[in-house]
Amino acid sequence: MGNMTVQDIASQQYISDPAHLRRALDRVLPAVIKPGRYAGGEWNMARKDWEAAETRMAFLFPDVYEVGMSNLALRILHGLVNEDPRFLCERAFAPWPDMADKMRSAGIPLYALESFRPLRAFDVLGVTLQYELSYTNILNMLDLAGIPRRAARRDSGDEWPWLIAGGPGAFNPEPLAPFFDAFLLGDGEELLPAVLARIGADKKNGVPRAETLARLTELRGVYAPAFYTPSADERGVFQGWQAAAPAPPLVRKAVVADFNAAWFPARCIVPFNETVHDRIMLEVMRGCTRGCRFCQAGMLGRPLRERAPEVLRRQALESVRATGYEEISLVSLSTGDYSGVSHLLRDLTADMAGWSVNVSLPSLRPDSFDVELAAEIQKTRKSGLTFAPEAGTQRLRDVINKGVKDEDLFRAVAAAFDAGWNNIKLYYMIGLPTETEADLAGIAAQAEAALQTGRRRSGKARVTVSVSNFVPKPHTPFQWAAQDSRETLQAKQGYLRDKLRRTPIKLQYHDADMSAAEAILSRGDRRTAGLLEVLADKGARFDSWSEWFRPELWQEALRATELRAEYFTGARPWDAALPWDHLSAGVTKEYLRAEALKSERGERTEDCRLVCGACGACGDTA
Amino acid sequence: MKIRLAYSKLAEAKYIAHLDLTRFFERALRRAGVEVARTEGFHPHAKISFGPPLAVGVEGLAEYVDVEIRDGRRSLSPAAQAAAAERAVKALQAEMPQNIRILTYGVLPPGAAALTASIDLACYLVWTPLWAPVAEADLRRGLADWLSREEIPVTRNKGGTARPVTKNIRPFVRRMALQSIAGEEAPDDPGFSLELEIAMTGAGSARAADVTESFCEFLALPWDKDGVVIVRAGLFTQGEKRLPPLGRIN
Repeated sequence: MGNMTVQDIASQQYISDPAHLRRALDRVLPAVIKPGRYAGGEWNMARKDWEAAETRMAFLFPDVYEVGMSNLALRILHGLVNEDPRFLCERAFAPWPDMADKMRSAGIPLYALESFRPLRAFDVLGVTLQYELSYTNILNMLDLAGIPRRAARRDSGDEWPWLIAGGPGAFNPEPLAPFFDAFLLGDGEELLPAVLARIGADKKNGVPRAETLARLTELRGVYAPAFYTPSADERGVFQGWQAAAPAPPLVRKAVVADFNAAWFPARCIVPFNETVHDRIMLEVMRGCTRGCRFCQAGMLGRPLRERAPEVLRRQALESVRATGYEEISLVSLSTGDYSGVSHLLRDLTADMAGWSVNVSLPSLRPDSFDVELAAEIQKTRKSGLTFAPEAGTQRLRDVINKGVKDEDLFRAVAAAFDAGWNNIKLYYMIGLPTETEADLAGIAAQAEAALQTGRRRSGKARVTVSVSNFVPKPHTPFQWAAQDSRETLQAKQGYLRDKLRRTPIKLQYHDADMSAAEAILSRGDRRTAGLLEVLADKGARFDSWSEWFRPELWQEALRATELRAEYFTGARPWDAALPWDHLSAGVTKEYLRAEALKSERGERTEDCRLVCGACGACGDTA
Repeated sequence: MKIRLAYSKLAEAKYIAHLDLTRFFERALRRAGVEVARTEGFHPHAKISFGPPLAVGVEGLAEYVDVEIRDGRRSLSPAAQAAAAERAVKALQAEMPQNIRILTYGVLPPGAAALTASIDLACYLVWTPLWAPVAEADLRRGLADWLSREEIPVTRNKGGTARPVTKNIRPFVRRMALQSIAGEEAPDDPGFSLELEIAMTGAGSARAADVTESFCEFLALPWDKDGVVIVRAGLFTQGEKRLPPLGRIN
C-alpha cells in the first residue's frame, strides 16, 4: 500500500453508501471476535444531522474499541464537539486483525460507528496519540480507509479529510509529521473547536487549503509540521528547526484557563462490550506537582489544576443518571494528592447511597495513603489496591525524585491490610538512570517486607510486583538519558525472577523488545516516519499488544531505512538539538536540565506546591 | 416484586453478546431510577435473569428477562403492584436504545417458574440466499426427505485441542416449513425462507444456523452462507399451547 499513488487509492473499489456498508457488514460481523466493537448504537451515542453540520469530524483511536472507549480524552473531545451545533463528531477504532482482514477482502473501508460513513467522507480526522506503539495502527487505519498516508499527497482541493492529532504524543510528533496536517498541543477543550470552526468556515468560503493551514498556525497550540524544516550539519546530524512565517518558531501548548468550567462528559457513551475502564471517570485534577523525573504526563500536564469538590459531586450525580454506570473512578495522575480526597470520597459515597454505585481510586502514592483514606475507599470497594514506589532503594527514588520513603510504603501497606485488603500490587520501573544491583535487590526486599506486613495480619495476604522498563521521554528531565539495551533489561528481569522465585510474590514484567521499539519513536525524529511506513507495509500492527508485536519486523525496518536503534535509545549530549525543541510544554529546557543535574547528584526536588521549582509552566498559561 | 419483560433486539443490537446483557439492563434500570433487588454477600449482584441466549448476529423479535425490583414494602396490593410495575417499565423504556425496545410486561405471581425452566420451544425465520435459482418443487422434495430422516448428524468443531462433537439435531426440529422462495427486499435475488420450531430440552437443543447448514448441504444447494439471515421470532412454552409466557404479543 505504501507505494501506491493517489490515483491508485482513489480508484479502489470501496463501498461508500452507508446502507450498502451495513449490509456488507452483516456478512462479516457474525464471524469476527466481539462484533459489538464494530456495530455502534450504544447508549448516549449522538445521532446528528449530517447535512446540518459545518464541520464533520471523526475521532480516531488507534487501538481496539475496548481500549479506545476507556480513554478520557475521547470522552471529553468527542462529547464536546458533538454538543456544538456547528459540528458533528463520530468515532472509529483500529479494527482487530481478524476484522481488518475481512474488511480488506470484502472491500469495506474503515467507517465511523455513528453513521456507517467511510472516513473519507469526513472533513477532519482527529487521532489521539496516547502511546508510541499505536503509531503503526494509524497508518493501517489510513490504508483501510483508502486515504493516502502522506499529507503532501492529500493537499489538493477538498478531496481528502484534514488529518490532525493531539494527546501526549503531539509533544514529539516527528515520527508522524509527514502524515498529519497539524498537531494540537495541550488541552483540547478550547483549541479543537477553534480548529474545527476555522476549517469549516474556510471550506464554506472556498479558502485554499494551504491558506487555511497558515491561519491555523496562528492559534496557540497548533503545530503544522509543513512549516518547519529540520537543518542538519554536513554529517546529517540534526541541528535544529527553521520555521516559515506565519508559523511561530516555538509552538506553545494550549491551556484551559478555567478547569472548573471546562466541559465534562456527563452523558458519555456507555458501551455494550465490557471495556478496560468501564466506569464513570471524574477528572479531579489535571497536572501533577510531584516532579518525578521520568514522568512525561506530569510535565505535560502542568500547571496543576484541581476541580472543586462541589463541581465533582454534581458531575458524579449527572453522570450516574445519564449513564447508569455502577462505578465512579476519581482519576488524575496522583489522586491521593487531591486536596481533601478523604472528604470527597466520603461525600461521594454518601451521595451515591441508594444508587448501588462504587467509588474507586486508581493507583496511589504510598505517602498519600493513610488509615482515613483506606477506611473511605473500603466502604465501597474491596478489589485490589495498587501502590507505585517505582524504585527499590531510597537512593534511586531520590534520583528519580519519587519522594516516597520505605516507611511510607510499609505504613500504607499496613493500613491497607488492616482495612481488609488482601491483594496489594506494587509498581516498579527498571532500567532507570544510575540503577545498580542493589536497587534491584531493593525491589525484592521491599516486596517481601510488604508481604510480611500483610501476613502478620492475614494469612490470605498477597503481593504482586509489576515491573515496567524505563523509556526516556521528551519534555522530562530524563530526556537526555540512555535506555538499557534489551539484553540488559532481560538480565535484570531474570535477576528479579530468581530473587522472587522462592517467595509467593507474583512477578509481572514488560517485553524488553517492545520497550526498545517504544524508545525509537519516543525520541524519534522525522526519519522515523519512513520506519513507520516500512513497518506498516510489512504488516506491523497492534505493536502494543504482545500477542501481535513482531520484533523481527522492527529489525527488518531498521535495516531497510538504515537507521540505528542505538542512536534513538542512547544518551543525548546536553548541547544537542532535540527534535522537539520547537514545541513547548510550558516547562523550560533549562529547568529540565537543572533537574537532570540534580538527579545525577541524587538530590531531591520538593513538591512544587510547597516550594516552587520555577519550571515555567505557571507563567505560560496567559 | 418480579417483573417479566418481553423485548426486541433488532438491527445492530443483534451483535450484543448475551453475556453483556445483564450489565446493559442493570445500567438501564439505574438510569431509570428503578432499584433492583441484589443478592446478599461479598459480591452482591442484581437479580436479573434471562431466557435462553440468543446467538450473536441473530435478531430477536420477542426475548424475555425477569427483573426483581425492590418495592420497599412486602405487602403491596395487586393494584399498587401493577401501578409500581407500570411506572418502572415506563421509566425503563425511556432509557432503552433505539434497537432494544420493551414490548410487554407482567408482574410474576410468587413461585413462578424461571424463564429457562418454562421456555422449551424457539421459533426462527431463516432467509438463505442462493447463488443460482433452485426449483421450488426440488426444495419441497428435499425438505420432505430431510424431515423423514431420523438421524441428521451435525459435527461442531469446538476449536483449540477439543475433539469435534457430533450430535443428532433431528429430534430437536419440531417443525420446518418452506415459507417463500424469494426475498421481500430483493424479489429478483434467488433464495428461500424457512420457518423453524426447535425444541429446547434438558438434553440440549439445535442451533438454527446448524439446521440451515445441514439442510443446504443435504440438498447440495448453491447457498451463500455469509448471507444467511436468522431471526428468532418467538420463544414458547409447549405445555401451555405454545403461548409465550406473557400471552401473545401484538
